[in-house]
Amino acid sequence: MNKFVYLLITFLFTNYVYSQHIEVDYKIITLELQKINEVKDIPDSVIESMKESFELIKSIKMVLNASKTESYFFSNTKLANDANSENFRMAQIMIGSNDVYHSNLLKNKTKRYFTAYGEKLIMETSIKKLNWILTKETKTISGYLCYKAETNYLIKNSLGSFNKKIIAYYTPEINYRFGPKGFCGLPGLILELQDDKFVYVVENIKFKKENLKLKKLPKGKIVTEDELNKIGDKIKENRKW
Amino acid sequence: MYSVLAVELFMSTSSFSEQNFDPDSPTTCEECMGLAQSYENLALFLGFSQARAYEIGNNRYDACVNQVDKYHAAIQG
Repeated sequence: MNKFVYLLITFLFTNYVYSQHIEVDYKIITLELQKINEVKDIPDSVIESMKESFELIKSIKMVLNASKTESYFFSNTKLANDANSENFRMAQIMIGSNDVYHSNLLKNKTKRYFTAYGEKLIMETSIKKLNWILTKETKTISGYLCYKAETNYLIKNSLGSFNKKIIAYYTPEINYRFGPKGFCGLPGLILELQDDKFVYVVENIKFKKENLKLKKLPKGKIVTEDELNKIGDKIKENRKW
Repeated sequence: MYSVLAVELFMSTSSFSEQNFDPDSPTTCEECMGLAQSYENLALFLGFSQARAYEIGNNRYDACVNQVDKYHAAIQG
């Protein structure tokens, strides 16, 4: 028995040490949205439809491919056969499953490739500006000891500014400093990431011996958050609805 | 139910009958505009970004108008 455990540990350790990149699958858990029941002047059918989309988000899987210096975060989930396609499409928009995040620690940059207002766009953010607050709080996820870290980011929309708290659990046992949605720069792989609506939880980690294959990324116009909002304002003036 | 689902259900039947069409379903582009606006407003209320809220509303608008077009084409025959 002891010999078996020793061999297993040696195998896993060897795999980890010689790995050139990792492939991590994340499942998504949707947090209970009490707020949706407080909304006024919205038809019940719209609320029900939105709730169904939140449920459908659980069937979307996200993938992180990372080397020691860069990562790609994206989804490879296609439409489930039994899903209402409109609600599933809405789920994809809500979670941003058509977005691709490319982070590069050497360049201190995360680029988000996405489509909005009918345009292919790229938004750059600085990794250092994430300003993580590291804590001593721990929990074990998939057998790895993880530490809690927190940061914030601001979302502005026409109803006001929403300060989003991000909670990450990372493990120093896996020295790949990346995680979901471009959140990275912590001293280890993020195994769980939570914002105000969703939790990304690791499901599977594969250690690969091959080098990380560079992903072909779409071209697009580089925009800042403010420029994106200005495009939105212009669209609002001219749109049909 | 006030949704394009009813129109989809209606369109999936091979022959048209007034009886199998939900009267609450949108039948005009104006109704689709209202529907899209409701989706966008709900998304904004839930704290989605301006761009995501717009995409949610716009996606619903396109789907709704598409179904309304099919509905009118079926009625005309």
